[in-house]
Amino acid sequence: MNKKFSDAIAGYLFILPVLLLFIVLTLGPLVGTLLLSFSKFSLLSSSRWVGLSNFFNLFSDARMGVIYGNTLFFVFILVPLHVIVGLVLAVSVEGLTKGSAKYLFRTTFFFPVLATTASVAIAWGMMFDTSFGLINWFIGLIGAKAIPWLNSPVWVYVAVAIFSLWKFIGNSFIYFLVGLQSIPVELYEAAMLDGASPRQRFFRITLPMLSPTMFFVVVNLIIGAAQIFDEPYFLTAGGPGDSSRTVGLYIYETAFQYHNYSYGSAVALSLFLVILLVTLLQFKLQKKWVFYGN
Amino acid sequence: MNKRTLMILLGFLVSVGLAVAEPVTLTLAYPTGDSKVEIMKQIVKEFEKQEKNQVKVNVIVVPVANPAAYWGSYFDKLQTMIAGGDAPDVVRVAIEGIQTFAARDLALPLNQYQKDDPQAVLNYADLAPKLQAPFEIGGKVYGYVWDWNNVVIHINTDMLKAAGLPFPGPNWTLEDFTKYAKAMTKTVNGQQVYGFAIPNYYFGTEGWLYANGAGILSDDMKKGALDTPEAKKIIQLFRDMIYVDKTAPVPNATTDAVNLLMTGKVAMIAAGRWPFGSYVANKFTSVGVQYIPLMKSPRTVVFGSGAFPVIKLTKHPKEAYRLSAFLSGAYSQKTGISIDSIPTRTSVMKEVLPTTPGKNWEIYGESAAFAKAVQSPPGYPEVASIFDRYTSSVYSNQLEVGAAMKSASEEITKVLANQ
Repeated sequence: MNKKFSDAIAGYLFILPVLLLFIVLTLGPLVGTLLLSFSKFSLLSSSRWVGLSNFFNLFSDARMGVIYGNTLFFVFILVPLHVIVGLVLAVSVEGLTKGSAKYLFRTTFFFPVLATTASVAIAWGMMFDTSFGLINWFIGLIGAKAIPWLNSPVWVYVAVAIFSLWKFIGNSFIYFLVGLQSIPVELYEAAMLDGASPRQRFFRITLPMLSPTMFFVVVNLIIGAAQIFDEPYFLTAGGPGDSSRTVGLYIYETAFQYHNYSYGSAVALSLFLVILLVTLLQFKLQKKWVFYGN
Repeated sequence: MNKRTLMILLGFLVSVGLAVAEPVTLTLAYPTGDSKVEIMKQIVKEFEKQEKNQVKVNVIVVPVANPAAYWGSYFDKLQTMIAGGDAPDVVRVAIEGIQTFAARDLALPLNQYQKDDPQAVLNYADLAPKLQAPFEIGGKVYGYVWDWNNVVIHINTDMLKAAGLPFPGPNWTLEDFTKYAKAMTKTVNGQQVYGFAIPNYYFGTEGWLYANGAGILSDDMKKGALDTPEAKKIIQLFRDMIYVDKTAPVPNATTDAVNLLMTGKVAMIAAGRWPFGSYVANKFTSVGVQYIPLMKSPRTVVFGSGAFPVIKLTKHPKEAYRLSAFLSGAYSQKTGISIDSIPTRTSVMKEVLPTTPGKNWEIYGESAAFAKAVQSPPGYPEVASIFDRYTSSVYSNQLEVGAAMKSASEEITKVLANQ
């Protein structure tokens, strides 16, 4: 056995645990979903192959357009919101000089990520209540009309966006914070010696140096927003009507409430393909704006 | 017989002896989140004692993460357990699931076992016949009803007093009801309080529809029936209470009507006996219950109930039957049903219901005589979801009642046809 071969074996052995986890937790379910989407599956009776029937149903499903439209709308709202607010918070916290204040804000902004979505959603649901909610009570104090947060097909997006921002902003915030901390201080010192203004330093140093982190955050946010489930599930149950029903929620309802696993798998596969295409496109485009320092 | 043969024979006899002494082990599936899990363990201990410890019962708590689709999620887990070859022997099933269990041939008919061992059920006639009926499908008995609930009007008596209104009688009309709702809608200390929280859930709405001679489905449960004039009248009433009379708040998926009643934010809600658990926990005693206003005679009250069917795949059908029967017995009902549901045995109702800390509690027992089962066909979760989707659109003022109910009925009919 030559050294090259034994090195290769050692390498494969090192990745074996992760590879096994990948096969069991990712590849297996993916193949399972693929097979299910081409069949008529029942937990308690024999399944049969139905070819593309589930996919034809998907294209003729009258609700699919609205549901994909809602999901797309959430992607357009949530991704910029999380990027901008996350970045502003990270830059503000990184700019603090006092270590204890930094620690306090870092913990505060990240804390909601650790909270159970189900429990905090109940509290937010009460706050958003049109008639008795705390938010409308404050709005009433300034003489404005109550907002139907969870009862209007327009305001429901705003309510979900506010909840999502509060609950999950800690993720993009922490990524940006780590990214900011990895930018060499010498770059800023040299720029200051050259007389660069804070605005110039941000746009000429911070943003380009942060672009790999930004790329990572945007890719993850788009994938997460396209799969959005927790927020509408706990806060609105997809309503009113189908106003806030997303593809993720529809997959769950179809497969696990109506026991139509095959059709649910076909919808899941369609979402997977959309996300895959968008992600591949992002990787293609990143060459134009992501700066890796070389 | 040589020494070796003797040893083998002795070994065989010891093994057989041990096998005989080995108690039968049954599994009972119960959904988590139900406050009765601990009490259920106590009840099965009593069953084990009755069986002289020859039958052991493992209570399997099935985790249910989704409170919005509680029974749907639970059935899904049960079906997964059955498909995975890990079927429980006896399961807790509500009325919403028994049709599905029977239609999919999952439940064991108990007629023969009851015939062979009638003592196990202990006074079958004591089970209120109307409540037991949903568990007898096509002449086959699939379980013995344990608990039930209905839908009546809960009234905050402090708010009633403040409005100078008497407690309504059982034959109050829809006009009386709307008059009460208007009288109790006011601003108190700068906070708007409402007369009524409309029931935006399947079971609660069906209570109102039954009262008006309608239903979510046709009587044979083959078609949607929300587009009948009687059904539309009720949905229109609820919609108008929100937007015309302004006597009801706009409901949403997270509305907690029981909490609103206790905190004096609404004066009336539609619910069964289940809020009494919260009332007792919060020491809320200013409450009375009355029937939904009388719209059609004779009066009809909706009910939902639960039992413990035996799974067909059980290896111990006789013991499982005895457990199923024991769980519907007087001891089980007295121990397990105290405040949040209603016992199904007439004798136990008489003992338990007087402990209800609310005015006019007698109607819970009375209504067993004219109760009608909630419509729960195979495919119930999808039907309930369509109902929620369209009624939420109406209550959010997005759709007009007639168009919404027509679409809802058409979609429901399509779902039922595919079952």
